[in-house]
Amino acid sequence: MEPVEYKPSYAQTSMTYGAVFAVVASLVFYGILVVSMSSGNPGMLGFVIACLGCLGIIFLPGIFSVKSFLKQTNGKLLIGKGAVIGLVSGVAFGVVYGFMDLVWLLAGVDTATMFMDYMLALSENYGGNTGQVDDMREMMESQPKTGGTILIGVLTNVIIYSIVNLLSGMLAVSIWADTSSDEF
Amino acid sequence: MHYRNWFTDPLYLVVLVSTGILALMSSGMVIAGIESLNIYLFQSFRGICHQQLWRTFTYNELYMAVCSRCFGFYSGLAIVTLFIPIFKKIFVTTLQKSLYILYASLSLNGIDFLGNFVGAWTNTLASRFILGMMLSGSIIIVIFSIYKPK
Repeated sequence: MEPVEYKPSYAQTSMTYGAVFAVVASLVFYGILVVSMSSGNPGMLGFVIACLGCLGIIFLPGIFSVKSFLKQTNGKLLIGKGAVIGLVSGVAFGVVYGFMDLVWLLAGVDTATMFMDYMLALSENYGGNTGQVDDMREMMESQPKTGGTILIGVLTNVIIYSIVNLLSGMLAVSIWADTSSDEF
Repeated sequence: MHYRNWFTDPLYLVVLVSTGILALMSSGMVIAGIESLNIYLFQSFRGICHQQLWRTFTYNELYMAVCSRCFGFYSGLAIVTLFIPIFKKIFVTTLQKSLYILYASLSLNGIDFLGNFVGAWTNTLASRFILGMMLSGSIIIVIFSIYKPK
């Protein structure tokens, strides 16, 4: 019987990291907004913390997936492979992050409406133009909620986060991997 | 010969095209003239950008999907990627030097944000755009610091 050659696989790890970080990012961002709104006086600091938290998290799936895969390859990885690993984790992130809006809806929180309400409150508190926010809200509410519009929303999520994590995967390889070998 | 190597390298072309797409998407596709996608992209970038409309560029009276700093960030990814062959020809960038550039860009953005937040100064759409571009540019420099086209 011939020995089976072990080939490290990145797909499961990448998708797991993408999904987990998507859940964490959604909970961090909307969780902070919910707490801030329920205080009755939403402030800029809460909003900034929420955005920075979420922004920091969206780059992590690609980085963590590559770092995890490097343990299987003894630190060797080509930058192109890192790009693919990041891309896969980004696709998983985009899909799950979009799905989390549905989870919040089931929990009684319309994330789109809450976000616009928060922006309106900040406009009122900090002297921004509330008319601009109202215009944006009207555009959102006039958008029909059909299967097609939901699909476009998921697609744009997937494209954005897959490209972001393609780059973060390449960044992780540049910083931590040995790219001299063609093996991986 | 040098530039031909880059523009026939598949990985470089993938990064160039995808960062270009990302930059267009961050503008809400208003620059590309596809205004119907604007509201979808505004919602997709929700959570990773504060999207405060008074800190956002407009184009043809439509707001971009992200603020000026984020638009600078995403534009910088594409623009610096396009010029990385020239940059690498002129400057010898080791990974260590590239990381120092990244730390400096991060620090500048942090100082600018904090200074504006505590009221020490007021930044503008243009200054935030440029600082965002510097940050993403430094990330591209780190990514391509050790890369040679095949």
